Amino acid sequence: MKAYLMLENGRVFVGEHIGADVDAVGTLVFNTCMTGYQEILTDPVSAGQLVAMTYPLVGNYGVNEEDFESPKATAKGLIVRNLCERPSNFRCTGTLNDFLKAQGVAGIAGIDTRSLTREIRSAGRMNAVITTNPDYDKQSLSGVETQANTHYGEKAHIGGNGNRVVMYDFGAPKSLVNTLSARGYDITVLPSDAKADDAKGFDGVILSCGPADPGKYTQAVETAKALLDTGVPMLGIGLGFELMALASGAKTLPLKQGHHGVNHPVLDKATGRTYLTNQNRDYQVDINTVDANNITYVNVNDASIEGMSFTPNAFGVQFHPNATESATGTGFVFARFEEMMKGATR
Amino acid sequence: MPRYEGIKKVLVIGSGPIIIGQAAEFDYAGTQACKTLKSEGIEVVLINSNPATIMTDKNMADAVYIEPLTVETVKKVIEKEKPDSILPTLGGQTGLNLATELAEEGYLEKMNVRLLGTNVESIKKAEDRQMFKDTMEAIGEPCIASKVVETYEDALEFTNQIGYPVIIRPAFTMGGTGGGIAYNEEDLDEIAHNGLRASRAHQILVEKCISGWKEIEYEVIRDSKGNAITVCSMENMDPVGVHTGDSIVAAPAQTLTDKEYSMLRNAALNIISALGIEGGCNCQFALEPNSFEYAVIEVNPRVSRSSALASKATGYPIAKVATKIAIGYGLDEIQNEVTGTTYACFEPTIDYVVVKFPRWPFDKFVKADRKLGTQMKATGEVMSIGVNFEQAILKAVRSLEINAPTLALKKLADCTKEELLEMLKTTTDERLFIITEAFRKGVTVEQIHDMTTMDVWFLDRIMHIVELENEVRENELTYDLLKKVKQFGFSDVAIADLKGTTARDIRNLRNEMGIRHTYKVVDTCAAEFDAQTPYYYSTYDEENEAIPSDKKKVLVLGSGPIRIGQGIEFDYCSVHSVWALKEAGYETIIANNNPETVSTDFDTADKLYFEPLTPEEVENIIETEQPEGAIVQFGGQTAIKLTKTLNDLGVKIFGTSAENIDAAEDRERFDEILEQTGIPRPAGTTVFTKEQALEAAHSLGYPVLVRPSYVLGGQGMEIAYNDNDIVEFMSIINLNTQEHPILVDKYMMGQEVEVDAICDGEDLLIPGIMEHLERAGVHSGDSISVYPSRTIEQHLKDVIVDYTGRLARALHVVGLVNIQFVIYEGAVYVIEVNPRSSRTVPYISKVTNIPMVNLATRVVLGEKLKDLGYGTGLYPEAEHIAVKVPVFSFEKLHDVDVSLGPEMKSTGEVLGISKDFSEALFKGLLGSGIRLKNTGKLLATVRDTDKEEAMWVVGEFSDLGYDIYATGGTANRLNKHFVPTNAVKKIGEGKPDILDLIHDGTVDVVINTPTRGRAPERDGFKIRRKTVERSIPCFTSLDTAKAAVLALKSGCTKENIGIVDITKI
Repeated sequence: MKAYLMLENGRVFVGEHIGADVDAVGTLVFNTCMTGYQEILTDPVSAGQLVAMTYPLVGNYGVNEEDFESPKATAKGLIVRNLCERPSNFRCTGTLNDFLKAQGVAGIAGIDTRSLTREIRSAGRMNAVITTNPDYDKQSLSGVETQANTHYGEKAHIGGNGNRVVMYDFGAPKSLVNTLSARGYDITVLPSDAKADDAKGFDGVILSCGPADPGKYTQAVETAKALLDTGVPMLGIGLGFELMALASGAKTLPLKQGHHGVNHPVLDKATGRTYLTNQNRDYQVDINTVDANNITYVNVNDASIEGMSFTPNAFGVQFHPNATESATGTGFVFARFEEMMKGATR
Repeated sequence: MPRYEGIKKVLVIGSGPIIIGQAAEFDYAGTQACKTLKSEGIEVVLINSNPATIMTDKNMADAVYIEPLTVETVKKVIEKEKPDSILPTLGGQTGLNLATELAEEGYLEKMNVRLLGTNVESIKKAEDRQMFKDTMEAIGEPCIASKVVETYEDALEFTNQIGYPVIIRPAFTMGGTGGGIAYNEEDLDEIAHNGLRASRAHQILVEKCISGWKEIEYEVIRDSKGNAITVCSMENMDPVGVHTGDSIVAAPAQTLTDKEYSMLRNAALNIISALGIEGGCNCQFALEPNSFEYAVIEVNPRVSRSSALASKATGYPIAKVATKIAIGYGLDEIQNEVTGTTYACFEPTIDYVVVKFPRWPFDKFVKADRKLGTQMKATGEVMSIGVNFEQAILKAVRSLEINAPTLALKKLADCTKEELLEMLKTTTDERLFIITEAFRKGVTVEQIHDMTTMDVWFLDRIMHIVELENEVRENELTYDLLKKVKQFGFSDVAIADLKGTTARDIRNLRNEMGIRHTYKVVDTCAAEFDAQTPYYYSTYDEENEAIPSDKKKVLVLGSGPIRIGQGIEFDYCSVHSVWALKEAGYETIIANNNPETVSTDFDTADKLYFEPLTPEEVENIIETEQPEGAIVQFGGQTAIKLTKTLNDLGVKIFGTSAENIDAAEDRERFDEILEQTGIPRPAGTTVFTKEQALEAAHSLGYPVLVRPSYVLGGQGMEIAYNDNDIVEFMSIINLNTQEHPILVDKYMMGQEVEVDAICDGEDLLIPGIMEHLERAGVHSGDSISVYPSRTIEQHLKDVIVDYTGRLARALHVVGLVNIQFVIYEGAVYVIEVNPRSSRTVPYISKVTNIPMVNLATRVVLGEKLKDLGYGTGLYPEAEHIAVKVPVFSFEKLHDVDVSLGPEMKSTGEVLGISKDFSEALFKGLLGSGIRLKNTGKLLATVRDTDKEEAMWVVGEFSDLGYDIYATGGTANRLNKHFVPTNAVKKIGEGKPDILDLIHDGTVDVVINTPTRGRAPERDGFKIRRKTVERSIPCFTSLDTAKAAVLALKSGCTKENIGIVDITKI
């Protein structure tokens, strides 16, 4: 059956229908990862998005029970060149197509994804729809609010022998929680609307990543401000970092084109070392609204802010740090956080 | 961090002659290195024994030494040039081994020469089997159960501990030389002994064999600050057990989940960091297909074949970046020239699929052992780019030029399912074709998976191709179906075959329907950033990114994969032609599919189309670009074969016209020309059948030369001495169906002479006359060739020059022409005329200082020789003598007869240059790797017709102090001639016999002239193969033996030979 990807700017791509039998409207983004489609489709940050994979062969290894970043798919739609219907991998428990159907994610296959990527690159952020209706009203795409809501998370506890940390969950993928566990943290997970007081008595506070425009999280920004005032060691990741920036008086803006991939080079200004990072985000902290001295990490390609210090005890990064410290990994982020927790008085 | 202080002059070591396992990829890497260093304002001194390379060129380096790659020679160059640094990491294993030796000796320190790139300690950690194991263990990277041993006894003991099968890997070798899989004690005996001998350090690794695990490679790069990235991941379609050089490879890895991919990626980064590599590195892993268990198989701390592939697959120039790292830059400081705005500290991401398919020499060596294992046998490879795996693999198959337009071989078409399954029990180069045929006959993916352990995903893609074939065959070609199969890589020829129509019909149908090709760009970043590279591949999409410019443009056709007979010499010519065209103000377009070469560096031409060189794909490029014309003279036989297509499309052929190119190959027309010009040739005729061939042989009288026309490297050429020979040869030639007739000529055993000339339609420029040391009957590519000629009398030279002129004019040659003559009984005869560039062009250009390809290009564009500054006629002979010595890869190819004959067998060559002939000869032989001792033991066993002549040669060896051994008749003869000889038993006369003598290392050199062609059962064949196994020089032509004597008598030694900077001669 034919399907159509209609862009807000009028361009239409014709392809094959895959996935769930629904029309899906969302913000169009492209992701350059060559593996990891299951993680991307279930990453909370993908909420409200139609994700186009640039890599042309998607679904080669099917899906499995372990690689979910959240219990259900979060993306609205998937756009691929080739969908593999006969996957092969020892952990495979089903095909990607069946997964999309079961999760209510619409999709389109067989389109020139490179051409689409070039379109997104030149036209910038826009909405689009995946539909099987050739007469869908494209005009209706403008101004549609595709952004996810800003409430997320539930209270939870994951035991550990190390530092007792509390994480405000704005949409943390499972892999982030796994990373924190790998560091040995005893983690208390709080929902996104939890207050600053809820962090009393913990060694450190983590503000997690999450979807959508940080500017919409007005309550969370207040919470962040309050937490910063307490002086408790704080680490913000992704959205969490952006919230801390807003709390410190800076502003945020959309990126011209999002960072969706695993190869984003980040320069550590202190050491001069560059690291490749995993990112899935569409916003940045406006460099004109911060004190340049506080910028600790910078993107080598577009010079955007990748991390800052806010106080001696609070800092944040835009990317997902690695769990372990290695010559080329970013586990040093956690090492730094742990130093802060060790040295802090409560 | 800026560049290191004090780097002003760097010595770059090249990789030497092309051999199986170390080939064109190092010319590409070396060329990138030289260009990069020069762009930094650094003076470059280059040493490389291979004259066919682009890197050994005056415009590449400031001083170029084409000299034998030995420690002694490198020291001489260092003493003379006084470089402050040495860069060996782009010269393959050869470069690395030399540098390691010099460093360990303390020489580099003494001479204040800094070793750039990865240091010796790191190299050893990766290459020394024991240190490697220890280093991996220290960083927690799992290796396979293994032990490094230095004796056979230890190997046996360990194997008994861990159990068979085991893999033997010799240390400090390349291409898996001397290694293999042992399934039992007999295997172990042979392979372990070979391995210990092949290793520079007399060391082998005995390792548990894990065949069947997935084989995944990462190309990684790291700078001195510690920043490291992976450039490309690759998955071998053939699981562990087949050397990566002989495997079909997909990039990126296709069947790994993100977790598996990240796990191995992290391992690769860990490894490169722990080893402290500064530059490129290749990591090979084995991944157990049903778990996360993995093991590190091998790490190559240098650029390699895989890095050339990775560079072309991603657009990320590894060698260039590695060079910049070597001189001190960080990855975050090196700009990514593709995007122009990002930096090298960035992992490429790709939005297409790349397939690498090896090119084997078995179409030439029909009786060789085609079994694939841990020792590489491929001579070259092709790469293809597509938007799905099917498209990529089908494009790769038709790029190989093995007469297979799709995944089908004629000889398999009638095989039954059972026969095919039986064939699959052995892994050979034809495996993928057999599998596809098996699918056509109803075998399932699961069955093949069980037999081969190839991943089901890959097999499914092949099955899909078969399903599409059926769909095409059984249905009408609607728009949707046709578009679908085009996008899955079906060529028009393949579709036409399924429908019983012609490729032209299919193309016309497509045009009517609006199904046209489009081109996409390789940009390292999947369109995330705007790209500056004009590097294209074809698909069937809506958006086309190859927009033709409005400049005048010329299409240059490349020469495809490296194979015996068509090596990097042709790439040299293509690239030089492109440079000349640029100088002349044209926009240059290259079409080629070889990832190892300089021609497919997107830096070389203004536009690069990485495509199969087939009529369809070339027509596509013509349609899109509408060039002024095309040049076909520089791409070997590959380009020549496309002349008709271009002609039919109305494309102007710059240079000798299609008609005249034809005339040289067509026997009848050629004979007419010879009649007209009054030039004699050996009598001969054209035939199509065995009966006609026998008739011809009888009327000409034996011996006769038999060969197919329109070939390269004398493919299929043989000397027939009797009827049996004719019958045998004709059946082999007809295996690869001939569209062109077969030539049968009288074989004249005289002196062979070769000439390259440039003709502008009126005048001629002949840079020189080359003479071969081996008499006619040995292919020119396999002969030792001397320039300027030494033994040809002046009046004969005049005849040769005269004939060259007459032929060039009669054929209306515009551009290059290569002519081969034989001087027989005082008269000159023409053997062959090739109206295109030849193998000898690069080295003649370098030695004479005449930029032949540059001049030829200008001439094809319309300029006249008399205006180009080199005059016309025979150019005055150079002061320096150049001796070209061929290099063979016989130790890699089992069951191939090493005897020289009319069909070319060498894979590469070296050059010896000196003002003194015997020194030049000595250097050439030294550079070729022949281990000739000043004295020792020689074994001679020659055919009857050679016995008389052999007396002198063997006598000379005896005078040099050699002990002589010979069999029966030869021994008698020698003793009668007062050459003291020990008689040796022939095979079958009792033990110990001649084979034992060779096997146990008693003799140091063998002279054995074969009695006939291809039959492997004969004693001579066994003797010759044994010499290869034991790495003993074996002369199968008395002429080569004579040359060796001359070299030994010259008084030259490795230490006392001089060096010549060819930029100053």
